[in-house]
Amino acid sequence: MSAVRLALARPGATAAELLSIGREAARRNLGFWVGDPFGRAPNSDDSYVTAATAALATVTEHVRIGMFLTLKGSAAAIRLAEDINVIDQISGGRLDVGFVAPPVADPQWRELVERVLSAPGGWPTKDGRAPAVTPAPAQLFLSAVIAGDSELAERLGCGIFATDKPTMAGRRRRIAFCLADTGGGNVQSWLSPDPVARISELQRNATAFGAGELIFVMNQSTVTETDLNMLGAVIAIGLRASDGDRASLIEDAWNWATKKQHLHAVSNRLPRHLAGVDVDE
Amino acid sequence: MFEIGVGCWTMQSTYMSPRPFGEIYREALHHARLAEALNLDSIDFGEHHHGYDGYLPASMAVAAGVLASTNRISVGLGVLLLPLHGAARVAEMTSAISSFAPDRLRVVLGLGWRKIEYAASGIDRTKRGLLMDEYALALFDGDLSKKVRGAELWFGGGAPAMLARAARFGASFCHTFAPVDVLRERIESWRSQLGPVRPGQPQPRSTFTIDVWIDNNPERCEWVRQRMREPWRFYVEMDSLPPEITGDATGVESTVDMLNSYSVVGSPRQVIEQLSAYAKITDGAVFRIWFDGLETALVDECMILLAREVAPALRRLA
Repeated sequence: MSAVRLALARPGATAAELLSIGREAARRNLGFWVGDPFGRAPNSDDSYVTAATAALATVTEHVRIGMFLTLKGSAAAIRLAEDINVIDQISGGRLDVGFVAPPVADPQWRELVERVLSAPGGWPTKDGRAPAVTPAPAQLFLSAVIAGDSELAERLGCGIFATDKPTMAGRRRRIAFCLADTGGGNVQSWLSPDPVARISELQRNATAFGAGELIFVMNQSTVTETDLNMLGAVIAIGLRASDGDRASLIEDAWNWATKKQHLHAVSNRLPRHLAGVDVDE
Repeated sequence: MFEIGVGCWTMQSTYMSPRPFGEIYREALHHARLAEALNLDSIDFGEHHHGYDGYLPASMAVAAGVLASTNRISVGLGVLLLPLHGAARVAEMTSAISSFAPDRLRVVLGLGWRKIEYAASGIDRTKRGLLMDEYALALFDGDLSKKVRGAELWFGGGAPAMLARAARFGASFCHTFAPVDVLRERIESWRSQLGPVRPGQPQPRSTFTIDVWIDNNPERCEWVRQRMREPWRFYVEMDSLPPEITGDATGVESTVDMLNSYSVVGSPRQVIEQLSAYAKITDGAVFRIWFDGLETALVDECMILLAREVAPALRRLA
């Protein structure tokens, strides 16, 4: 059985769209990542991302919220360090930060990542002072992951990203995250025609990689309720199931998510007119 | 319509009233929802950096959260220290917030004065006026102006240069508190220089901020009046305040005395009496009723008195 968490990202979406999807994802126990793991999509400027993440952190209560930052956008690194700390406080310590490395190794970028992560201990000034960046984050050690620079991740004790292909198998870190790209289609078609095989492959890769979280990068124009049900019910359950149960659980969950009205005698939710009935009556 | 907002949430956990930050941030959300339920117009947040007490450094992030969690109320950021953020960052954050809360964000642009804030940001503090002009130009007249159309851009403070800047961009102004004659003079000066309103920006208005406590219990009023000295002591001690705020006062105690003398504390009737002249010459006010050390329920009560007794009276006078 795998303890891997499940989350989704929707690069390019507006903050309004992210809020709408993120709320629904949270209801299905799915985490959410704001921004683009490759730093290229529209609305992935660091300042845009931090504003959207703060909003999402406020309207959710339990799931983890992540944000991809490039440190190459409109914000100075010191402002991002403050944003990170405040959003972590707003979220009650539910924030994950993903730093997206530039395509070509950049020593200055590496230094900025290090500064941002150590900001609560002081931000060096030219005249030799180091005022603390306050408030400190809620988490004792900020959950940080670096995409595209595993050497820096190792040095700073951060997590790393990999694709769902086991190219990095065996390289374990404190936190490791897998990215699974639905390739622009919806989740149902991505799982088809054999959801059991697809999910089993995902689990093998996640386990081999030592992943703590599997992030679905959804590049399609809309994320539907069925997409979220596929993630929250079918894939999450499939990843969690033991080998003996997996196939039957995935099949049942798949049927529920795709044609639940035929399988269940009652609707999934308690009818409104029954809500609030006094059990003593 | 005389707009009435409450402020100025700064999220401080001071040595006098240490609290978990998570609780402070949750409480601000509670107060925003209460202010909305009471039909107040806005809730305002401050900004400073590197405070030992966690003074809110990322007011735009908090605004995003509050606006996502409410339906109608506006959020004011007063002041947002533009030279420390830059125009592009403000435009990006504003654009994100406007996508889910259009026309509900008011960004009051200001300079700040703390040396350590500028030093840590690697910005020459003596150039902050020039930076303000450059960034304001980009936001009001440059390519970024399209990105900020879902928010109101104001200027704020007490310096004549800032007032002239607001007028030049045809923008609204939020004044620091001053005697009514001084305020009238400043408003007339701003109005006489007012340039054309920029596309997407509202008709210019002038408001003011004031420390207020409304309470029918005279003993509690006296305690609050004394306790209000402490936030002022914080501001005075954390760096030298600029002369447009301190006037001629010198020394910590005399400066605190002078600043606290502007506070309006009393019953609803007393507060209405003291502020009625201001309601006639301005378009609104931000009542600074929050400071560290006040219990949540006490702030609730003050806000309720403001909404039910003081606000209707001031709106009638305006």
